[in-house]
Amino acid sequence: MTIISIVGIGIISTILAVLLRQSQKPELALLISLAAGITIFSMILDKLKYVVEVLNSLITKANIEPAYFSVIIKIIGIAYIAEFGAQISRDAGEETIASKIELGAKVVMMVLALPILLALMDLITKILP
Amino acid sequence: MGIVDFLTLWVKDIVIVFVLISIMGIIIPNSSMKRYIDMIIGFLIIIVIIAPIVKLVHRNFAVDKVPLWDSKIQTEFEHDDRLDKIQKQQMESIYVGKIEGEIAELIHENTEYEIVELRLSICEDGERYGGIEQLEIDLQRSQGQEQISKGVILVDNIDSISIGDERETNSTMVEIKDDKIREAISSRYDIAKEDIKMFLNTSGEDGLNEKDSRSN
Repeated sequence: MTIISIVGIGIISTILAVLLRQSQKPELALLISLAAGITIFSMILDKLKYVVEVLNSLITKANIEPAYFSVIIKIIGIAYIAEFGAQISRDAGEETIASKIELGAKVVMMVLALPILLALMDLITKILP
Repeated sequence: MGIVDFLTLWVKDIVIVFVLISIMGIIIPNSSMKRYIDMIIGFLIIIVIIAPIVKLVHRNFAVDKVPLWDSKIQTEFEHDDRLDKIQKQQMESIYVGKIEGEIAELIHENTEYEIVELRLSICEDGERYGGIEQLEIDLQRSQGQEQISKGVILVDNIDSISIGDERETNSTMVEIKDDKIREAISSRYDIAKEDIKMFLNTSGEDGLNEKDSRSN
């Protein structure tokens, strides 16, 4: 029944935001969308945790370095959080701030991905005689 | 690890990685970030595919020879004990043979005797492994040029004659105490003098002596 709650919260917050915008109070509409976002995210958090646990148990069965997969999961999380922040900024009409958030997220993702890139380069140099 | 195990592990890794990535594909956000996540996942797939090849290169596997290599190891383990035993026996027999040859030469050079039979026992274990424990030498007088030149017809040793139950033998063994030859063997092979026993086969010599006395 989680999906009904999520959709309900979404529809109610949308109606509220539209009404607030029409009544010339866009700052309150922004707060409503922020609150709705945080609520929905907290509702799916425990289910997301379960998914990540299952993926981790699958990784231990394979003969792969688990650190690589934890990096990918972190990157997906960063992408979600950055998108959330950037969308809020866009809703408020701050396109510049949104693009800065995205830039920051990309840099952090690249830093996290560097160990994978280094491992790949190491493998390639090992193969070459 | 056999080649089949190796391939099984490799394929298993690839399958698990693709399953994981397709699950993750559901939760990847549909934003501009997707491209970057895809790139990093691509790196991971390349690593999973390449890593076993690196292992293969570094172990110097020749893929076509691996099954042969496996079977060779198996047979080595199967016959290990037997091979050891045979090798030890061969080593000992060669060693004993060589010592016998040397002693025979030593006696031939230093005395007028020649060896009929030589029995030696060697240490089987301990610090003196391979050392001679006991040495028994059966000798007989050398039937060389000197006696032939005297015009004596030599008769070969007559085998023991047995008539009915009675056994009559014409070969008699007398222990001799030739310190010179004992000293030589003792110093060369590091054996106590008491452990060297020499017997002289005096068979036929009485007859020879009788003939000698008659001719005189």
